[in-house]
Amino acid sequence: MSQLGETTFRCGDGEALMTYVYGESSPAERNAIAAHVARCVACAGEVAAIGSTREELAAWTPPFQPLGFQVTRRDSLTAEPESVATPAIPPATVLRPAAWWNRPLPAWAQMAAAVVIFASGLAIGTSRGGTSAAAVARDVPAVTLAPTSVTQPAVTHEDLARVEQRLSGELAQLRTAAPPPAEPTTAMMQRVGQMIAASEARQQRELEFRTAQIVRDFSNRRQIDLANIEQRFGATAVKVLGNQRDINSLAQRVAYPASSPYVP
Amino acid sequence: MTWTDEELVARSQRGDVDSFNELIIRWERPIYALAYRVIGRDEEARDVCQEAFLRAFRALPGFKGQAKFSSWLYRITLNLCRDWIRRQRRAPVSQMPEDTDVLEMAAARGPVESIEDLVARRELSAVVEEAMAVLPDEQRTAIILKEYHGMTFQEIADLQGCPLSTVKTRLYQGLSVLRRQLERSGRLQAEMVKRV
Repeated sequence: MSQLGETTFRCGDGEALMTYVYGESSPAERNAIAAHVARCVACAGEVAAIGSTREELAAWTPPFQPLGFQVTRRDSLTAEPESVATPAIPPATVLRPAAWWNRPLPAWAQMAAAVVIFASGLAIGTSRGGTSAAAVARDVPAVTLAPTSVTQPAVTHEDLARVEQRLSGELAQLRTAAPPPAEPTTAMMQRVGQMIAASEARQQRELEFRTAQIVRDFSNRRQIDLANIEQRFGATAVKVLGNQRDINSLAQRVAYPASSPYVP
Repeated sequence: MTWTDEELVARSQRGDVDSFNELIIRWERPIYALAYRVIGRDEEARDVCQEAFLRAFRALPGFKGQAKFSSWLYRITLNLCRDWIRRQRRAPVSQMPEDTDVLEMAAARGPVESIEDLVARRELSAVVEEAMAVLPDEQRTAIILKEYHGMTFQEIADLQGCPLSTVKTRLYQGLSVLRRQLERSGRLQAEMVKRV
């Protein structure tokens, strides 16, 4: 048993060794344990073995997976602005990030794509004369399939000419009735601009937090490493001192053997 | 400007979802690492991580700030891990090692790390993971919280709901078992011989 003032250390006390190894013991306890470890081979071996095990533990790293969880409101599009006085949090869900090919585009990109598709559709429609497939289908009489009969009268050239004339007239009407191509409104462009700005701001914020997180992790790791180094250095110093003491003792014994008349 | 956790919690409690998302960005990596190390499976650790944030978000109005937000989050995560382990009691904790893809490893290695070093590091990581899987849940959790999350004995005792001395005993016994496991796998002797 080692004693320093009122602090004692019982040889092989695992709990006390834990506080010593992890640097959570009081200065008096630390000194008492260090003094004991310096002269007890078993405890010194125990401390060294715990240190080695802890070093091995550092190798265990979880796989680095992209996470990016996010809380999204289910009713984000229709929700009324919340009152500060009633801070009830709405139902929400935490979404796991999908693979990039399944991941939905940002809102601004979806909006931009919609504008492009809308404009392309208008341009194509105009170049075809403003007649949509739906309009043509609506105007063509419904056709029913029926078994053909030999006695059925054949279609004459006059019939075809009449049908062609009727179709031409209806097409002309449709052309004149077609609305002018709509330009993307200023409001929509402003909305797209706002969404792009909001998205960029969010990404910027996220980047800042990621950077801060990396810096914090690095700093924590550094502190842990420094503490480990300091602790190992302390243990080594204690061991060196112990060895030095043993050497001195041996040297003294060699210089002054028990049978020597010079032994005081 | 970087908000503190407490500020972000207060803003989240007033209904600011973006603030809570910032808390997620800040804590998702440690929470995932904790879940992964406790239950030993990537996919399930992600599920636990997701569920932990969801529960935290829903319980946020009742969070009075007696403990740190991170401690509260750790507690939620550990409870979820414990539930998962209870459900999977009969299943092995450690995950079978996946096939090694050299190209993937080459892409994952650090700028000064050779492929050989990387393979050695992964092997060691797998050995430690297997050794940790042998430990009882309480000992493994105590070691994880101490070694990888830098918690004090008191913080671990609060999280595990046990006396301080129990935490120290769990750590000591856990590390002793771990040492024997590593020695059995030949890791520790090799390391000590290398040092000598």
